[in-house]
Amino acid sequence: MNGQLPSQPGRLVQWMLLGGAVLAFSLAWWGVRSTVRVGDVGTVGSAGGTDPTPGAPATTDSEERRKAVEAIVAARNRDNGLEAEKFRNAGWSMVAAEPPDARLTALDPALLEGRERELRVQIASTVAAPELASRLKHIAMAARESATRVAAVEALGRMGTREAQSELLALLPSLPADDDARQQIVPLLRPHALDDEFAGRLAAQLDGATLTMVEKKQLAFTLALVGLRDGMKLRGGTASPSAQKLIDQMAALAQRGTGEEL
Amino acid sequence: MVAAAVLPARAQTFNLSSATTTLSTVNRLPPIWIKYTWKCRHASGAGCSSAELANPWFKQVFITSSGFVEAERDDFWTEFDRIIGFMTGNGAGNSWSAQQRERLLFVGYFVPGGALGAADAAFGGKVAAHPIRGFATSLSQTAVYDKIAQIRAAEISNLRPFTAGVLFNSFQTPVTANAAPPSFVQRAFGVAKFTRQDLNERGTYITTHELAHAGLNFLDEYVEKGFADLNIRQLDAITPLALFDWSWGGFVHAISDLLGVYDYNVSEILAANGNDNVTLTRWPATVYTPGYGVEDYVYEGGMFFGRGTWHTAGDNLMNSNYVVRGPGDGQALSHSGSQQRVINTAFGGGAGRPNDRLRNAGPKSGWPAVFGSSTHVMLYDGDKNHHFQPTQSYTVQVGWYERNWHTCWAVFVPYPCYDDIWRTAQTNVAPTARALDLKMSSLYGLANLTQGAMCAAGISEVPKPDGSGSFRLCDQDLNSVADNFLPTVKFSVPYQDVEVPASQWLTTYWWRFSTYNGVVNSGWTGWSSFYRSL
Repeated sequence: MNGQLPSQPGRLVQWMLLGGAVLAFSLAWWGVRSTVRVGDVGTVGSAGGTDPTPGAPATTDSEERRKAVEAIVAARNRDNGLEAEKFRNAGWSMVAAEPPDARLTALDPALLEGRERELRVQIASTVAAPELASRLKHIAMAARESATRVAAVEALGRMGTREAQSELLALLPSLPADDDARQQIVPLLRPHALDDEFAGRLAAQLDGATLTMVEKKQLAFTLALVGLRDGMKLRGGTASPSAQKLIDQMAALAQRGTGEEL
Repeated sequence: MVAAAVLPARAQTFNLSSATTTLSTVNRLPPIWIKYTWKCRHASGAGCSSAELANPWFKQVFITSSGFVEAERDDFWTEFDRIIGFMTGNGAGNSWSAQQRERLLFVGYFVPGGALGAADAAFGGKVAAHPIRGFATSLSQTAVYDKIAQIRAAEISNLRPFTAGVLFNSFQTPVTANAAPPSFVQRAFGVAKFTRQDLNERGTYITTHELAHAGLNFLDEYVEKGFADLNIRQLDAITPLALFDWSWGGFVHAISDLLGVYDYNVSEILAANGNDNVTLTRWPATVYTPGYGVEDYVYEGGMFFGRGTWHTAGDNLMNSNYVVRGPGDGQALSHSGSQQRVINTAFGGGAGRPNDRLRNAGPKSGWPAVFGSSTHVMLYDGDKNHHFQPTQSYTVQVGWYERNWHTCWAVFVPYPCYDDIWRTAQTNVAPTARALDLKMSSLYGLANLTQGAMCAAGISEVPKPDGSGSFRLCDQDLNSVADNFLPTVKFSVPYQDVEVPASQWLTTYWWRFSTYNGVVNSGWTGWSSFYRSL
């Protein structure tokens, strides 16, 4: 009949099954989770996690399964230590050191709160991966210290990728003209060649309102240098007559190697 | 006693063509009948002894001649005495030579020859057209170094100049004095060149300034007219034209796009390559070293360009009043903070700071498919070629995660699982000379600009391509020289490659480094990674 409650023994079995499922799930989760440890040579402790413990005594089937898994484990561990041995053979020694902080190497902008100095060292002393261009742009705008913001701009300049160059260009209207970081941006803008689409975008800046007169001279000088290096000019119509005139003046300056103030 | 007093010091031989400093000190005989070939004088005018010449506590300022005929020997010695007075007298202010006057030995050596520009002028001296400023002093630096070596071998065995100058017998004006900082010519000292007219017009400034280039390795902190708003980093447009030379070994040949793999820049080679008083960024320390603060090179300008090069505050000898960006950004017979630190190191030893201008310069990202059992990482070290505290060793760490497999259990079901274990290998590497070549013939329309920048840096002489001598870079219009006669300029660079035996496929390796300059270990650079796919 409907609405009839299960008998007491039946309810007990239900609870036992539920508890067993929860227990099994918990054990499985602790076991599969990978842990990170510093190598035995070091004195730094485990990064976290616990080693799983062996389960209940196995049946014959389970014994075979265990042996199979152990064989896999042994096979996968066979080459462990070979890399270290290769380094030792090349005269290196194995030492203890902390692994990289993933947040630092990923240039996590949240580190600007409380760890800005470390972030600045990471930015200034390495070449950032291409996918970090947008983070560098964010840091160039958000960092408290000028040194960090300048480092972020310089790091974008070093990357040399199209995306990094675009991020530099996008930074210009976001920073005031007298900002330390802003003043380092334009000299880092550089097309691969004058027939590059990016060269056209740069040339357009010469007529825009974003750049200061000094920045326009700098940008024109860069375009002139790239042109002189490659023996090329901007495609017709890429630059306005006044912009082209400024580029030509800068080219003349570069070709003379010296000159009076323009 | 008197007899003993007039005896020459053991290391010197008295004859009519050489100096006997003991004799000149005791008797002060008039020069009309003694023709000195060389003299050694303290700032006080007193003669110096062999023992003092041999004593490394003293620093030798070597002055020689060009364009003086035999009959003008005494004129040279008169000017020699004036040079000592300019550099160490009351008018020298707080310049390095005035500060250290008690430790300076002035060694003059007269070399007779033809007039300037004549075929037999000493060291090929002449007043030549200059790419930047009209006329400038010009000679064969190689000839000067050869002469000094010859003098040391045959006459003055303890001759070891701290700085050297050649006095040109000319009253033409204006003629630009110049000097090559030693790090650019890879010598123990540079050679300064100035004229007698320079002594008349601004003797103290010219001698202390040019001999500071040649001895203290300082770069100019002033700006060339026309370049006040332009940035040295724009010159990096020519970096693709710089070629790795033989000093790198064979690994460079396996890489078709070196600039895509490594981060190297002409601007760094010119202005952040061992010359401490000028940097490429306002805060040049890129790593943190406990116990050391962050230096602020607050003012922009130097090395030809008005922007992109930086120097510390303090009116000083290497600056001018052409572009003044704030108080303490002008010229004086004194030194800025960074310059004073270098002077203290040069005369006091040690190192004034850690060598902390560092960068992991590649591989930039990933590692292109490469064949072989090792990888090469590139270190940028702005102090690798520092004249007084060069890096003595690099400590390089390479790390990777190693999977340590074991058996796990899901209740009664075994399965393989792993821990990631971090492994770190470390080695120490001594710096080795590395260079990039810049063929002037590849510069096309940029030749004059590059020439101007190099001449401003003091690079005035390069070997000729056919090995027949030297090409005087600053004497001629490069547009008038055929391509096959244009030289290749070789730059010692602030980069060091390190071979890493990282050969495991499908593995991300991490690396970083620090420096040791004989006094202090720098902080570590950040970790960089490269992924070894094959």
